Amino acid sequence: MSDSDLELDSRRAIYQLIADTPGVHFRALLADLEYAQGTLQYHLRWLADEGLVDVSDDGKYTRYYPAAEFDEADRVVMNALRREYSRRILAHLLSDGPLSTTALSDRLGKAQSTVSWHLSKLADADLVSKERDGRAVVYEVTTPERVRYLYTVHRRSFTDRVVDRILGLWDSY
Amino acid sequence: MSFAQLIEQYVSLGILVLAGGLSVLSFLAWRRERDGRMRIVTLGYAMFAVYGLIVFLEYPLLPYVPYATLELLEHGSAVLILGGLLAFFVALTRD
Repeated sequence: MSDSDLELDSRRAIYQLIADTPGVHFRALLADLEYAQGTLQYHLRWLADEGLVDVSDDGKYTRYYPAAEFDEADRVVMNALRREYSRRILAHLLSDGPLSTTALSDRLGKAQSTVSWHLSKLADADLVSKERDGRAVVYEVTTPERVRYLYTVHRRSFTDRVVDRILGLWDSY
Repeated sequence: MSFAQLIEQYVSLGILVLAGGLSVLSFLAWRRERDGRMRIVTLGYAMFAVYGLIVFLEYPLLPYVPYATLELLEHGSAVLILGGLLAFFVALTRD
């Protein structure tokens, strides 16, 4: 990356915010930076065209990542880590895996259908694999070191944090 | 508009905005986590929001809708409060 790529202060500010909060989406950028929507769109397009920023659609938001730090596979992991229960499932599997759906359901205190839904999403992203252990099917993390690293560095957006609080509020009853 | 009517307008608007916001956030929580309980919570907050909307619309609609109809609608909509509380009870007691 040449210095000229980030010559303008505004582009630098946008890039820095994306580097500080990988996976940040457009509305969050708009809220944190005092730029007009058109200006922000223009600079983001420029950063993406120059290969400084990668764009990833997680089905709900268009998220921006610093290109140098995370590849597509990493972004899939970080999108999964935005889900509270997926994050907890991965944490349990990393520390005590492999575990069955029933064991995970007991540990999380959630219905097996909910745990299964998250496990299927994690399996679709190749983050967990399943194998038969006697009569039970157990799950384990496919690449523990990489997931552990991304688990540490990932950050949540403001909306994710608010949603997590609401979930925590109802979970506490 | 009298002071009592103003209070009713502001409070019902507050219920609409707050319950509507919490309903949206609960819906996001359900969509992200697929926790069935959050779907019920979304429904509960939505009922409160609809109640707030009905009460808020009473005076703006007065020139166009008969008074008796509006009163019936407003008083009848109190059932939404009961429904919302029942929804929360189900969400709290559900495993």
